[in-house]
Amino acid sequence: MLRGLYMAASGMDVQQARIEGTANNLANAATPGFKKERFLIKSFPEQLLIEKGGPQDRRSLLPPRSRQIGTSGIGARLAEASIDFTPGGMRETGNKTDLFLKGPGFFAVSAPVQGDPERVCYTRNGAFKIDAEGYLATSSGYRVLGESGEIKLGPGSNFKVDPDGSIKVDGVQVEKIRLVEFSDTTALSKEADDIFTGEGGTVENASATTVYQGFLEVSNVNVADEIVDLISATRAYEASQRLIQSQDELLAKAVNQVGSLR
Amino acid sequence: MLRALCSGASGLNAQQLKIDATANNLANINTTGFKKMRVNFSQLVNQLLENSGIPTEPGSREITAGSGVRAADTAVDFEPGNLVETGRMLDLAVQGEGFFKVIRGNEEYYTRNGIFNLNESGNLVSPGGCGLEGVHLEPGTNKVTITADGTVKAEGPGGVTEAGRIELYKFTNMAGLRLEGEGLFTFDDTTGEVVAGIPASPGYGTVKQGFLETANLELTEEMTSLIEAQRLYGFNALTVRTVDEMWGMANNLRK
Repeated sequence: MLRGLYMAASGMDVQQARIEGTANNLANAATPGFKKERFLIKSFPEQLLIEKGGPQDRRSLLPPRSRQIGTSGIGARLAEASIDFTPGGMRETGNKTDLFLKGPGFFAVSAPVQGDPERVCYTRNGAFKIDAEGYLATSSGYRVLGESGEIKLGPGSNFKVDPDGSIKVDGVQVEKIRLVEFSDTTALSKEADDIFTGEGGTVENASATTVYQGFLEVSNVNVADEIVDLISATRAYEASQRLIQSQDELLAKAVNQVGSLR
Repeated sequence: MLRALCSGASGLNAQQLKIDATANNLANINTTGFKKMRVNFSQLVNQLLENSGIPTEPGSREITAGSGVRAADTAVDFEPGNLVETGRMLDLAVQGEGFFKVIRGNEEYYTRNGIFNLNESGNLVSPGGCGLEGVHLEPGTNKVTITADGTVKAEGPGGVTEAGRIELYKFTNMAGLRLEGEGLFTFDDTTGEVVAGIPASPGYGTVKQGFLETANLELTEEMTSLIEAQRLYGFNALTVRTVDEMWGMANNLRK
């Protein structure tokens, strides 16, 4: 009986996690370069049920095998959170610091942390700006990396970006944006501010990625799908809630009505 | 669950900020020299789920969930607007990147709004009372000619005299400009520099007399972003409502 209660509770918990994922996707539906997340839900491994209780003599007479009842699931759990790297659409902004990536590549940004000042992270959010010291940086302040380090653009900064990532000021190439591709995007994990860390992944120089200046990649969240997910998760949550209520009623019966004396 | 509620709320806040910015842009569509504001979003931290009591697979890769969105920065878009001819003697526009420097009290401001009037002491002042630097007209001046390189020539009873020169300013980092209202910007960047230059020299642009710069807005673009922000506001409100319903269910577990 109590097992059923915990199974239903695990159902509520995982649906809650699904809602959290959907809420985050919806909140970021307008974040450039955002990649939606999905939770994969699995059942716990099945458990073998063995009979307990019953008449004392029967237990001692029969061989152990016959006391097995069969297997039973014991609820749901989160197996993994996967990031969907489907490219988002293209939106024209006309802003020269807005860069769009066509293809599977990423921009490399410098994201120093304590203990690792040289750390490199990756992003597809190309809504860049020129920071206070004249460097090209993401809107959250991480500096974009070129082939030879951080990219400094001079005063006025009338630059042009070619499809291969070359930055030209007055027709002269000053730097080339470092573009990388991952053979296995599952190695990437999300951090704050639209950056991905690629620990354990193989980084290759991009060959199939081109840059478009004056465009942004819109988030790949499909709001209709998210709303459907929101509904299905809420209803599944509700169903689990009803199960708990039924279990509660059954327990109440067992406690209060079985063997009552009048 | 609280995280889903916070994600929804963060989405509401972010979209609200975008609606505010778009509304302000639209309200200023006829403001001379107005520069549109845009809001950039970025996602908040991804947090580990296993701390929150949700059953996960032991030994699997760390499962994280995002916690919403924030407005990373609001940036002024300095794209030049169109120049329209007004024919008025003291309407000025900059064709190119430079800014005018105006002074009010002890404060220095930079602006692209070139509507000026002559005050009683012979200075050119904006309707907001900011004086243009470097120009002084003698009483009795009846015609002012301003050339593309900023030279001001006054025609008065004593013939044509030179009455000063308008300088233009550019910045090593435009992002360091802070909007103070009335189309006035201050520059308080500790690392950036303000560079003064003569109009018509490279990078500064030319001064055009009898023209004004319109706001750098496109109505369709602003309306689309208003619709988008409004819809996304609705979706995030739906998240908040759903979470509320779910909490109601959890609250009703024990009848």
